[in-house]
Amino acid sequence: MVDDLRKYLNHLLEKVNGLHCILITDRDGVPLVRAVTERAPPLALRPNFISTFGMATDQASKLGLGRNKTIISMYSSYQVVQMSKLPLVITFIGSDNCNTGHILSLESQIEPFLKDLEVVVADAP
Amino acid sequence: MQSDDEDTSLHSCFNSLKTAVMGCCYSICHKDNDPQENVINERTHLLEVTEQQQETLVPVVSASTPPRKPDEQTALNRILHETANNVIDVGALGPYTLEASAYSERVRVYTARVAAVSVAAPRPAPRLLADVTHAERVALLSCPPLPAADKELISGAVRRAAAAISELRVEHREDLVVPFRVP
Repeated sequence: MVDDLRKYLNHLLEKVNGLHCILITDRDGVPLVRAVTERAPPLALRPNFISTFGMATDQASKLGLGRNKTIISMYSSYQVVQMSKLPLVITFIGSDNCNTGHILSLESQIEPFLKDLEVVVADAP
Repeated sequence: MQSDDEDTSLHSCFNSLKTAVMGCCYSICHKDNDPQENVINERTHLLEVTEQQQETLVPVVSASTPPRKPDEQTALNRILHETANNVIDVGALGPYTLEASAYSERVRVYTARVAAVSVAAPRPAPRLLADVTHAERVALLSCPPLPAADKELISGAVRRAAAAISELRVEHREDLVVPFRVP
C-alpha cells in the first residue's frame, strides 16, 4: 500500500518541472513517506531543518492574520514550500525557478490520503 | 479720616470675597443637599459608580491578602496561559532537535505502521495523450509506410477542400441593421 503512495508521489514529482522532492513528515520532521530525486539537497531533508517549520508556523499564527497554513522560503538555488496539515507536515523542495503555483496546486492532490496517514502518527513515541 | 473709610471699605470687601469663596468651596465639597445633583455638567462622572460599589471596594483594597477562590485562581491561570500563548518569545525559540535514539525509534514505528495502514492512493488522472507501450511502439514503427497512391489521394482531397474554402465569399443581400419606423 505504501508503495502505491510512493509511486503516486513520484508521479506528482515528475509532473512539476524542477521539483526535487516531496516529504510527508510528522511535526518533528520524522518522515512517513517521501519521494526524493538525486537533486534534492541532503541538508534540507534532515529533521532539524524540517522541524523548524512547526515552530515558525506557530509563531506566525500569532501575528494577527489568522492561522498560518503554508510557508514558502526562497533560497539562492532552492525553494522550500511547507504546508501545515497537523499532525502532519508536507514539504516540497524544488529549484529556485520551479513554478511555485504548480507546487501549491499539488496540495489538493495529496490531501485525500492524509486522513489515512494521520493515524500513523497518533500516539507516537 | 479718609484712610479709615478706605480701610473699612476694603475690609468689608475682603470679608464678602472670603464668604463667597468659602461658600463656593463648600458647595463643591458638600454635595448632599445640592439641588443640581442629577444635572449633567462638567463635574458629572463619566462612569457612574454607585455608592454601594464604592463602599464595597474599600475593604477589598484595604485587606492585605484575602483568600482567593479557586475560580479566581483558575481564571488567573487561564489568562496567564493565554497571554503566554499569544506572546512571540524570540529568546525562548531555540533549535529543536529530536534525540538520535528517539528519532530512529520513531522512524521504526512509523515504517511499521505505514506498511500496515491501508492508504488509498488516488490513481493518477488518465492522460489525454497517453503513451503506448514499447512493444506497440516498435510494432507501429515497423509497419510499412503509406502507399503512394493513398498519399496522393489524401493530398488531392485536402488541396481541393482548401481551394473550395478559399472560394467562399460573403454575398451581400440585405442590410443587417434594419431601422424600425418609430414615429
